[in-house]
Amino acid sequence: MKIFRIDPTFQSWRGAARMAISNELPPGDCIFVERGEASLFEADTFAEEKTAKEIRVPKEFKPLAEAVACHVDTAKWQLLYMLLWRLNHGEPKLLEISSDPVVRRAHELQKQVGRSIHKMTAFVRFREFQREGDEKSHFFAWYEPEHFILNRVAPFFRDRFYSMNWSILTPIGCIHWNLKDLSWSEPVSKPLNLEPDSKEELWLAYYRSTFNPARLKLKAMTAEMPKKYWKNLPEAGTISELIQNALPRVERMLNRAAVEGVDKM
Amino acid sequence: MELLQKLSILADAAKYDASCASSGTSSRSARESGGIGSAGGSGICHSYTPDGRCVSLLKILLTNFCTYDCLYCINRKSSNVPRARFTAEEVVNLTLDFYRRNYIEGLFLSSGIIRSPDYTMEQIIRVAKSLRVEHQFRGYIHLKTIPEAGSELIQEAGLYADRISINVELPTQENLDRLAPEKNLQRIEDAMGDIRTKVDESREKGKAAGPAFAPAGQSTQMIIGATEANDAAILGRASSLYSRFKLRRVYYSAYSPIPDASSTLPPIKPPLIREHRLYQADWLLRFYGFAVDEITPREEPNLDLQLDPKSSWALRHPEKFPVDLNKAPREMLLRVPGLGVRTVERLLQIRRWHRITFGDLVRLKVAVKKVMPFVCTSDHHPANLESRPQILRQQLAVPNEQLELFGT
Repeated sequence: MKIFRIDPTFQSWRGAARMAISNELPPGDCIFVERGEASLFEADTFAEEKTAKEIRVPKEFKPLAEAVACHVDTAKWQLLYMLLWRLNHGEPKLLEISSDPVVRRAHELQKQVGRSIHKMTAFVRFREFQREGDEKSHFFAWYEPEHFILNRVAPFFRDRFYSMNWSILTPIGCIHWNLKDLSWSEPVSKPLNLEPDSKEELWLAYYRSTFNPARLKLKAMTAEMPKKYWKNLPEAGTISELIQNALPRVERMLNRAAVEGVDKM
Repeated sequence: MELLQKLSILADAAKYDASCASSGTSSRSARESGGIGSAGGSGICHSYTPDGRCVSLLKILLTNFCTYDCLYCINRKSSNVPRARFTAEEVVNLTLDFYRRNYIEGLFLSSGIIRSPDYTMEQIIRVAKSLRVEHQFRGYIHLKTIPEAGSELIQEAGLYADRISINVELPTQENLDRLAPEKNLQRIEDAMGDIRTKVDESREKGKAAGPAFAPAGQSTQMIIGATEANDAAILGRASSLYSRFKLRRVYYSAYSPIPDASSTLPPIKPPLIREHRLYQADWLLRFYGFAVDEITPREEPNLDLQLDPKSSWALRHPEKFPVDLNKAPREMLLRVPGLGVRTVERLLQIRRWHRITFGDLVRLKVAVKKVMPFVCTSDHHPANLESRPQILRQQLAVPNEQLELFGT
C-alpha cells in the first residue's frame, strides 16, 4: 500500500495521482491522505519520477474533479483516483455513463458543491458598519459554508459588490475586498458585536408583506431554504409568526365579505 | 406616511403578480463597468416565504392608487385598501440598500394607473433610469408595462429593463369585458407585438448599437379560476402568445380571495392543484413537444387534477406503449410518464455505450414505479397497457384527500 500525503487541493492531488498512475498503481494499492490528518499508515517517500506516461482525460474530467475536490467528504480523493484509473485503463467514455455507480457518486458530490455555492451567493447577508471618522462604510457578513468553496465563490462577490468594502467571515476562513484586491485571513468564530442594520427592519417588513397568507406551502419553502440556514437569515425569525397568523387572516377576510352582504353567484 | 408603512402597503399590493424570475438576461458585472451589481445565469432566490414562493426581487408598486376598476384586483378604484405612493428616490434607495446587503437580485416595479397611462409609465421609467444612469446599477430590473402607453415610452423602458411584461390577465375578450372593462385584449397584444419587434431588432444589431432592449425578453400572467374559462382555452391562449410574441414565460396565478371582493367573482378559490397542473402542461408544450389539443383534447378540455398531464395523455394512448428505451427516438422518450428532459438526455448518452437496463434507471434515480409500466429495457418487458388502463390509473393518481392537503 503506497501512501501519498497531499494538501487538500485539486493541484496537490493531481500531482500525486500522476505519480501513482505513472507507477501503474491500481486504486486498491494506494491511498491519498491529507496532511495534518491522522492516519494508520506512515507516508512513503517517493522518488519524484518524471511523469513519462501521458495521462489522457476527457475534457469533462477537470471541472468535475475541481468541484469534487471542494467537498467535505475525505473519500473524494480515492473516488477521483478510481475514475482517473478507469478512464486510462479501457474505459475512456466512462464519464458518459452517468448510471455507473462511481460516476454517479462523483456527480452527486459535484452537484452538492454546486448547490452549496449557489446557496452561499443567495444567503450571505451583509450588515453595514461605519466607524467614527471613516469616510466609507464597511459591509460585514457571517456565513457557514458546508464545503470548501471560498475560492470559487469569492469572484462572484467581488464582481457584484465591486464598489463596496466588504468582508465575509466564516469558520473556514475570511475573505476581504478593499476596492482593489481580494485578500484572505484566518477563520473566526462568530463575531459577537454585529448590530442589526437599520435597513433590516425594512427588509423584515418587506418579507412579511410579500407573503400571501391564502397559500401555505411549507415543504416547498424548506426544500429550498433548509432550516440549517435559518439562524443566519434575519427574516427567518418571522416565519413561525407568519404561519400561525395565515389561516386566521384569510378567515377574517372571507368573513368580512360575508358580513358585508356580498351576493353569492 | 413613514417609509416602513408605505413599503408594507405597496409590497402587499404587488404580491398578486407571480413573476419572480431574475434569470435569462445578459451576463455583466460592476467589475467591467463600474458601479454595483451583476447579472446573468439562472438567477438567485435570496429567500423563501411560507407560501413556497421565492424572494428574488424587490417587488413593489410605485403607487396603489388606480383609476381603473378591474374586479379581480385588490387595488381597483372602488376598493377600500389603504393607499400609498413612493417617490422615485425612495424606490431607488430601497433597491440599492437591499441590493448592497445581498437581500435581492434587483427590482420588480409595477404601478396602479394614475393620471394617464403615459404619465404612469414615465414615473416608472424615472426610477429605472436613475438606477442605471445615476447609480450605475447593474442588477436585474423588471418593469411592468402599460399597454396603453406610447410606443416611445415602451422603447425607453426596454433600454433600462432586463425584462418587461404586460399581464394579459384573462384568456378571452369576453372575460375582460366582464371583469376589466378598461383593458383591451387587442391593445395588449399589439403592445406585446411591438415589444417582440424591439427585442428582435436589438438582438440583431448586437452590442455595437448600444444598450440592449430588454435582454431577458417579455413574460405575462393569466389569472386562473376567476372566470369559467376552461384549461383548453387557457393553454390555447398561452400557446398562441408564446409563438406570436416569443414570451419567455407565462405565469398562471390561481385566483386568491382578495379583501372587498366583488360579487361577480366566484365565492370559492380554485384548487391550487389546478395551477400546478397548468404549469406541468405549460412545460409539456415548451419542452416535451406536445400540442395543446393533445394535452386538452376536445372531449376533455380540463386537465385531470389527480394525474399529471403526461400520464393522462399516456393512458389515453395505450397503443403507443411500451417504449423501448434502447431504440425509441428522443421524441418518444420524452412522452414517457416520469422521464424528464435531463434523464432522457442521459439515457441517450448511455445507450451509445451499453444497453440500458432496469438497474440503470434505478441508479439514475428515476421514479421506477411510475415509469416501468410504460417502457422496455434489455431486462424488463411490461404487460400490455391496453389490458389494464384502470388499474394503472389507480396506481398513478393522487388520492382526493392528498389533493385537498396540496393547498396547505
